[in-house]
Amino acid sequence: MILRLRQLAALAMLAVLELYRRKDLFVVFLLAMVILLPLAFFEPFGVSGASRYINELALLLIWIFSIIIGLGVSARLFPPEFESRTIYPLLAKPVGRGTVLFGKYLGGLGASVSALLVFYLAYALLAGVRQGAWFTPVLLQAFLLHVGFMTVLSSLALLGSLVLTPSATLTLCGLTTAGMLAFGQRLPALAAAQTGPGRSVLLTIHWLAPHLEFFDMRQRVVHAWPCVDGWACAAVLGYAACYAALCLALASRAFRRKRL
Amino acid sequence: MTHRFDLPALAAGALLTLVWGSLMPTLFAGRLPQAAGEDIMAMLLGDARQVLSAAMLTKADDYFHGGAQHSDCTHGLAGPQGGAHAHDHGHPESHADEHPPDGNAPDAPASRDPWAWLNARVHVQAHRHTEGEDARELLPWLWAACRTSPSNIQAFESSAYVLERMLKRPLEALALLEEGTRLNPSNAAIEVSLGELALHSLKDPVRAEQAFEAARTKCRPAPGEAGDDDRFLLGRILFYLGYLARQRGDLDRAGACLTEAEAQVPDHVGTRNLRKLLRAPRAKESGQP
Repeated sequence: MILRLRQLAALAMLAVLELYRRKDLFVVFLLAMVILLPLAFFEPFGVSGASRYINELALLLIWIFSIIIGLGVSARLFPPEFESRTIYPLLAKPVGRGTVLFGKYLGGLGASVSALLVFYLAYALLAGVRQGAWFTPVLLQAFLLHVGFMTVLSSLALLGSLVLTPSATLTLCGLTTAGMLAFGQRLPALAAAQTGPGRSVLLTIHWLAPHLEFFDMRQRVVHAWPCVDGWACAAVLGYAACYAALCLALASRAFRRKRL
Repeated sequence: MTHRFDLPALAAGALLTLVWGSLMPTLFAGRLPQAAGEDIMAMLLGDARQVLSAAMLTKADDYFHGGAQHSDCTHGLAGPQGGAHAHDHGHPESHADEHPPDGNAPDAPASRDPWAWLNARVHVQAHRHTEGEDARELLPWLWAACRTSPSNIQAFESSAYVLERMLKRPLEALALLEEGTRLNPSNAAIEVSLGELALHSLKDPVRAEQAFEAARTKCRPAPGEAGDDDRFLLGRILFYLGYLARQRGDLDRAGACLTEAEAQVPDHVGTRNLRKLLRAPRAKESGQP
C-alpha cells in the first residue's frame, strides 16, 4: 500500500514539475495582470469606486486560464510518452497500468489545482486591496467547486487523450466545456422548445454530458450573494467525484486495451 | 553594388508611401471605403457595435438585479418598460418575496430532474435591486455601452438616470447628455432627458426650455403607427414647454402649446395635465410638473 502511494506520488510530482518547467502558468498570470491592472484604475464618467466589473473580469480570466491549463496538462499526460516511447521503461518497472494512469491523473489534477490556487490567491489579493474583503466564505466555496470542476475536466481530457489524437481531445473537450458552461443550465428549456429528434438529442446531452456549470459560482462571488447551502455543495462535489471516477474507469479500460 | 542603393531606395519608397497616403483622401474624397474621422470602434466593429452596446446595456441591467437576468422584472434599466425611468412608476419598494437572502428561488417548484435542482441551488435564481452608492457598479457597463455605440440613445438615458437619480451627480449626467446631443444631433429624446434633468435636478428652467425647444424642433412624428413613439414624446415636450411658459407668466405661449398639443396628441396625459394646469388659478398650481 505504502509502495503504491509512493509510486503515485512520484508519478504525480512529475506532472506538477512539468507544468512549472513549461512556464505556462507564468505566461497566463502575466497576461492576466496586463489585462486587469489598467482596468483597475478605470473611472467611468469620472466616478470611482466600482469594483464588481473588475472582479467579474478577473474571475472570467481565471476560468479561461484554468480551462487552458487543465486541458493542456491533462491532454498531454500520455501522448508525448507514446510518441517518444518513454512509456516502455515506465511500464517495465514494477508498476501497474492502473497506477500509472491514476498517478498521472493525480499529477495533472495537482498541477491544475496548484495553478488555480495561485489565481485565487491573486484574486483575493486584488479584492482585498480594492474592497477589504480578502477571503470571504463564498470565495472559498467557489475555489472548492472550481477544484471539483478541474477534477472532472482533467479526467475528461485524460480519457480523450487515450482514445483520440491530442488535437481532437483539446477541441472536443474545449467545445464541451464552453458549451456546457454556456448552455448547460438551459438544456431542459431548450429541449422543451424542440420537437422530434432535436428534443431527444438535447435531453441525451442533458442527462449524459458533464454539467460543468454546476461548479461556476462567479455570480455569487461577484455580486456578494451568500454561499450555496452545504447539501447542494456536497451534491455537486459528489457529482464531480462520480463523473471523474467514471471517466477514469473508461480511461483505465482504454489504457489496458491499448496496443503499445 | 546593389547594397549601395538599398538605403536611398528604402527612403524614397517610404517618402513615396507617405506622400501617396497623404494625398489619397484628397484625390479620392468620398470614394474611400472608410469615412474620414470615424473612430476606432466604428472602423473595427462596424454595425456590430450596436449589438455590443445593447449587450453592455443588458449587462448593466443584470448588475442592477444583483447579477441575475430577470426579463420578467418590470423594474430595470433596460427592462420591458423600456428606459431608465421604469423605477419612477409604481415601484413597490418592498417585495421581499422576490429577494430571498440566500439568492435561491422563493418558491422553486420541486423538480424531479436532479441536474435542474442542483443548478437552481448553485446559481442565483432570485434578484435584488441595486440602490444608493452601489449603483456605481453599473457605471463601467453603461460607460462601455455609450462608448461602443454613440447612437444608442437608451444607453445615454440610462447612464444619465443612474448618475442623476441614483448617485445624485446631476452635473456628470448633464455633461453626458450634452455629449449625447452632440453625437446625435437629430435625436429629440435625448434633448427631452436633458431638459428634464435641467428642470428637476439643476432647477435651471432657462436651460430646460432651451432643451425642450430643441427637442420640439427635432421631433417630427411620422404618420400612422410608426410615429406613435414620437407622438408620445411630442406630448411630453409640449407639456413641458407649456408648463415653463406658464411659470414665467407667458400665458399666450402656454396657450399656444396647449392648442398644438390638442391638435397633435389630444389623448396624451401631458395634454390633459397641461389643460388642467392652464385652467387652474396660479395660486393652486403645483410647484413641479
